[in-house]
Amino acid sequence: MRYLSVDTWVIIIAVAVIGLLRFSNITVAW
Amino acid sequence: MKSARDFLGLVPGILLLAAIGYGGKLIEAAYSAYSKAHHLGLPNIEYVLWAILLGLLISNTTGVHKLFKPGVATYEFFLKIGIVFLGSRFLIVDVLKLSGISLVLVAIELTISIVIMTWLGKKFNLSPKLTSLLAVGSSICGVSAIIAAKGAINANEEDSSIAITAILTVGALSLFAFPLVGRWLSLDDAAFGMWAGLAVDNTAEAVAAGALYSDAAGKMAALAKTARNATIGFVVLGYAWYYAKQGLAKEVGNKAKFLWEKFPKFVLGFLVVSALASVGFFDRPQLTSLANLSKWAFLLTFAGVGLNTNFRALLKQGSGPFVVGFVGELLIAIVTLGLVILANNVVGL
Repeated sequence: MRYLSVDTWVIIIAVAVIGLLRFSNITVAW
Repeated sequence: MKSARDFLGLVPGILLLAAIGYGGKLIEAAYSAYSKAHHLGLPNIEYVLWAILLGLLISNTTGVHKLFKPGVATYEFFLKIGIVFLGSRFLIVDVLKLSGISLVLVAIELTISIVIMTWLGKKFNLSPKLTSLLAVGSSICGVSAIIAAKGAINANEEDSSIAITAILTVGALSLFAFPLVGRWLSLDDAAFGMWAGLAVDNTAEAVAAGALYSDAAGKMAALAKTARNATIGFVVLGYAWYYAKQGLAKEVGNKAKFLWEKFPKFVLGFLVVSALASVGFFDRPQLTSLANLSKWAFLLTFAGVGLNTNFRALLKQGSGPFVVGFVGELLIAIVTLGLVILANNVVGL
């Protein structure tokens, strides 16, 4: 974790999550 | 192997954040059900407050065990990813309009807060660099701005930790004081959110203060605070230049590179998500999912705000920097409130 900044992790995870949401049928409830 | 162990070390703390956040959500539901069942008509208390209070209770009684500390520190990650996902709830044109207004207000606020803080710092005999750190912390974005400025103006460890503690104390107070003042003045959601985003110091506290007021105010606070955060590089560069001229810090070589390094990159994520949502990249259920993810991420952030606030540690600091931080912040809050009300009446938020 210490090798990448928090902002870089934010971008990587956000891209992965958004890709997953966009191209699958997964939904997230509140 | 070491990085795998580091990663596993985060798990207990993240689970604690999730447990406290979800606990806050359950308490909200139970409290409201109890109030309805017994016809008590109690005011609704949102999960935001419950999550913060649960976190505060733990950090100020038993304390946070060291096993949980690395994971609890990830609340900054959840805050930023929450803001990125929140982009899906804004049309890019609104982002541009509102962040434009925010930036104009930030520029005015910045000038005023640097003048106020410099004057107060002289009054209370604080060192010029400590005063500069307090000015940066109160005008831009709290802890991360102080850390960025510390290196650039070559301030010492002690000054920066004093400034961070002072700013965190004022942030903790603002978190509860702002919503009360907002209700008292009957501010609308947009105006309150803009005010919290511009005047509450730390990003997590600013978003939490907005969310304590209402969902819409939380959304606006996150946007205004993000616009404010985006200016960090310019202000730090200004200070670095000022101290370098006096021979008290190193000259900044490549200014564009310096600005890019200091620029909070997650802001770009927020803009991209908002642009994608505006051009119809997501359908309605996907937009709802993104908005819900943002709320889940903020839930963990609010738990982290509580867990990271220890009143005893905050009270240990010297009174000088705290008084400067508090008085300065109070004046800045009043001025910003005036600016926001004016902007709301003139251009509409």
